[in-house]
Amino acid sequence: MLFNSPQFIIFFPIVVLLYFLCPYRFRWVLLLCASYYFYMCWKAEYVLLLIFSTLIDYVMGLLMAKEPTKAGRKKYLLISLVVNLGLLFLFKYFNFFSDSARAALAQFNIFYNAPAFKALLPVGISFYTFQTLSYSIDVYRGDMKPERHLGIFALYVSFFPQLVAGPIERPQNLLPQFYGKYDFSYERVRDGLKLMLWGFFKKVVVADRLLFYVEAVYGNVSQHNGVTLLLATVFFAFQIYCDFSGYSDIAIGSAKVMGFDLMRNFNRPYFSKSVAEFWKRWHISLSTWFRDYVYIPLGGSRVPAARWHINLFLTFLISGLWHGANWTYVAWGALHGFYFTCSVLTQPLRERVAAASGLARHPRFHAFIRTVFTFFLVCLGWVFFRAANLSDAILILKKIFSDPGPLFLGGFRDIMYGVMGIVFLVGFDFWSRGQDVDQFLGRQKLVVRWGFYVLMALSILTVGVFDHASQFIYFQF
Amino acid sequence: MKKFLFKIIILFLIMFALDRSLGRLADHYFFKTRDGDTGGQINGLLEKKAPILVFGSSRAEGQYVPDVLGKSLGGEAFNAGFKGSSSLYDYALLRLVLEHYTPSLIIYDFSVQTINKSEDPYSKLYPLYPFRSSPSVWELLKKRSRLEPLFFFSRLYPYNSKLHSVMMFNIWKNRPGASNGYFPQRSVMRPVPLEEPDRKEAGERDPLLVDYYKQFIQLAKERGIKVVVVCSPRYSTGAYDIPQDLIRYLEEMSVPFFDFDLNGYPQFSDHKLYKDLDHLNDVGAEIFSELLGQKIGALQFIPALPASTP
Repeated sequence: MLFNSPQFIIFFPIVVLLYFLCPYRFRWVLLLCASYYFYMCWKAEYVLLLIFSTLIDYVMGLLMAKEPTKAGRKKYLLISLVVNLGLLFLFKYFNFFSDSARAALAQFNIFYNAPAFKALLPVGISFYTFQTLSYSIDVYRGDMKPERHLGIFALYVSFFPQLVAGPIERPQNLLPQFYGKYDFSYERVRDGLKLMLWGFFKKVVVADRLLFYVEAVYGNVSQHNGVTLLLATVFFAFQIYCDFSGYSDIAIGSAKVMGFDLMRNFNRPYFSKSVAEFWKRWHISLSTWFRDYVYIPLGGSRVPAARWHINLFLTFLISGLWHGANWTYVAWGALHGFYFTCSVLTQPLRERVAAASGLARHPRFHAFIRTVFTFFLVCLGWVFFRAANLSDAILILKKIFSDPGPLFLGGFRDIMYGVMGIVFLVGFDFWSRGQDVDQFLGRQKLVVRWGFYVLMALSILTVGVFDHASQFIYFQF
Repeated sequence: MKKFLFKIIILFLIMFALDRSLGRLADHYFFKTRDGDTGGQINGLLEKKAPILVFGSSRAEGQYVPDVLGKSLGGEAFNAGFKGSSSLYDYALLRLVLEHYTPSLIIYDFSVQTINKSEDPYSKLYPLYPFRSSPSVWELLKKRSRLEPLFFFSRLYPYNSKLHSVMMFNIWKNRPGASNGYFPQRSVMRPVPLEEPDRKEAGERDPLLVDYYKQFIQLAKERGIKVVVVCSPRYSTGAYDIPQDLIRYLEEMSVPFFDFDLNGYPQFSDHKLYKDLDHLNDVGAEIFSELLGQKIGALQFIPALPASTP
């Protein structure tokens, strides 16, 4: 079930109503049933994978608790890792690695029929796998006690607002909340609905509008010039931001309505003044996951400088691969790893240049330049992320830098609505100064607040894209 | 809880009032438009009642010049082609047209995209949303999903993505150069080799859309309308295969079929006649329409056409 589907508009109020009518002790049952139903609406049989993953981690967690030493717990952690990552590998990466191996061997005149695993990728598998892994790893490390209530644990893995596209929650944050007793709270429901409305706006008004232009251009790269490809890339930057942050807002908002606090996933990423800052503001739940479970275990920054850069690069490479089984994602991850290491290495030089050029005396202007440059670097990365393959990505970059020409106006309506949406979004992000929409609106006058609600609702109705086939980009991951 | 319900009710009342009043306004101005890429063109079509109609996707909209066709065939022509349409849209539009009048000849451009699988085929009906009061259109609109009728409680929803178009076409009336539904494409494609190696392959057929394609032909024949199916030129030697079952169906229904494959019509191998690989520009469209008019005229199966159908 998609958040932007009519089914969800009916499903959600029913679940919320039943949730507040239900006695506290049965609420987990209601939410678990709702979550499984939510997931089964996509492909019913794949709920078995979810249950299997849940059972494995639940049992391993309990077995780890019986072992007093890390060494004793290790074998159970390994079972959890092998099962979860094995499933992820099988469904998401098997064909990719198999095809890549076949292509590599073909270079040496070794030919074989690469076996293919023909099954649909279970929606959200990367998200719930990482969420369950964080539980197993935390129990292994002794950072938390295992959850003994199977139902609550199953709910932690499958909680419907964030099941298929995050935020990837940590067990320490989410599990205790399922024991809380939440009564109907006007403030929470109001704030949650505001976030949901804002998320719907970002998804159906901005992201899905921009999608048309981006698809038209990226679907036929050879026919478009550099100016058009550049605009399509900038549009994609906002499309993916609105698509994914819109999903996160709806997820956080719908959880808030029921009394749960999910972690913030985006914080005005395109206002970042460096790539390092971008990653503190973009998909925060994933970047902190990689920090805690990949980067720091690799040694983080407390190692010799060369090793530190390798750690950074490896973390981004894995992060790229997490996004999808395609070399374009690997290249995207590698590029961000490269940006990151370069930014660390060149920091003293950049500071000297800023001081010598006088930019340091104009901090606002300097910040503006850095923001624009960071956005440009991020957009270069999005070329790899969005292109169908590496050769397309390289062709796009070549054309952007060497092939000017008239702008393709294609569906002018979509460009117009898209640009209006971007201007509104950037304006809002600027004025809100990092506050969530509920906090920001809470400080405004009644007329502004209500005007905002009505404007959002009317925009969704008149400009929103109600194509039932329009999924969220991050569903595929 | 009371406070929440009170505020929600107030918000809904405001939204309801705005929806009704703005929807009424949109209705009023939409039905005044006679051209436009979001449905206004249908108003022009229903008003003109031209005896010759062209149906199809963007390959119809920008390639069949009604003035040229009308001159060749001796009757007024209207181009009802619509960018991105599918056979379902064509079928729905034909049913809407038949509620108003019966044309004499339909030139139906064939493009595989109109019968290709898409995840939400009924979404292609959106230009017809303002015509929801037509029984035949409503019957098809409802099929999108069980919940679709709920959306139509809103009076503004039928104008989703159309308000700018309604505004623009009330001010400027027509797209520049547009005439009887035809919209000339003035740009010229960059020179590329004729056999483009990375052409996208034709997608998977949708049985539902193939069925609507056949229903379109059948309905037209039942109403005594002459139908000609045309595969117009593309800048590619081995373009898309026309499904053999559809060709057989056209033969069974005695529908003439013209395929302007470049092997048979080398005059369309010039890139200057194209806007892009799949679309002729205005120059190409004029040449093509002239040629098509002659070919249809030579069939001599069309009765003398009135200038317009009463």
